[in-house]
Amino acid sequence: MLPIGIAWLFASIAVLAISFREALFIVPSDAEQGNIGRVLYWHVPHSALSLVFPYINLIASLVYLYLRKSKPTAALIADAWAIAAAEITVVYGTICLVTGSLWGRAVWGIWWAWDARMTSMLLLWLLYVAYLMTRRLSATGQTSTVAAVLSVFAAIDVPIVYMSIRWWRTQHPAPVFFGGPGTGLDASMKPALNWSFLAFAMWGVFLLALRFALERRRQLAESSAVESALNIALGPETPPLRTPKFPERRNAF
Amino acid sequence: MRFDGWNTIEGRHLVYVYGSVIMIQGGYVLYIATQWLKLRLTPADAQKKSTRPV
Repeated sequence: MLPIGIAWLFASIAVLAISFREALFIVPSDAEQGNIGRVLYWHVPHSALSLVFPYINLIASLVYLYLRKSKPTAALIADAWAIAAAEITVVYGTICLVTGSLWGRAVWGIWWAWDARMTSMLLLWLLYVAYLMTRRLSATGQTSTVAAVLSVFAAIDVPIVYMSIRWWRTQHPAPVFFGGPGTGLDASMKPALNWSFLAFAMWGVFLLALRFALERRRQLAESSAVESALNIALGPETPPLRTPKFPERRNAF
Repeated sequence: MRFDGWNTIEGRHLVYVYGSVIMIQGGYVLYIATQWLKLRLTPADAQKKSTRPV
């Protein structure tokens, strides 16, 4: 897996460089907004992808809840995917909120407005921060189960964020994509936006895999520590305990 | 039509946007790298360093 990961990293960096060049130096400036409209090419992909990663978290959490008793090793793998997806959601959501706020300051003259889209997006971000804090601070042995249940509720906010600018017309610009007749992007802007989408999607997948690999290493280290502690506690006369090894260890990223 | 207005309100905000994206993404990669290096310790090493009784 390591050569694939390194190749993916270099491919992501190359596509990021192309998207950066397209967004800053190739695409014409926006007819209404001028050059500040170039924020779109980084804000929109991060915003859209911050609504995709929560579903990876949701699916992984549901798999964890389903398998946690019957197949604990497979459940641990799902749990590692869940925490990785939650962290990427927070990273991409943070960028969505920060870049949107900077764009609002330049175009509207205000940093923030409590409109439907921004408030629901902030709520989504807070939900996933709460998810990560629960995982970090919970002292019970049921942390993963509690976090998985929380993620099911957090995912409910995703369609609300997506539909907010369709249900309520407030401060945030109207939908450009799938917004009905008369909406859409000018043809000259599409290549830059497509490159940016591809670049940040590839980068997000790389981060997701990297964070997953880190979580698996942590799980493995915890398992080994528990095994050696039990062997010490039981003494030399008892046959050594062996916790099941993770079969995918040799394939770790 | 390339971007060349760096010394304007638009240009500065564009720099802030691109800078913040690079800082947040880069910061997260650094966080993962730090955590990865911390996990290089074997469990036996971790027990030697720990002051808690096993």
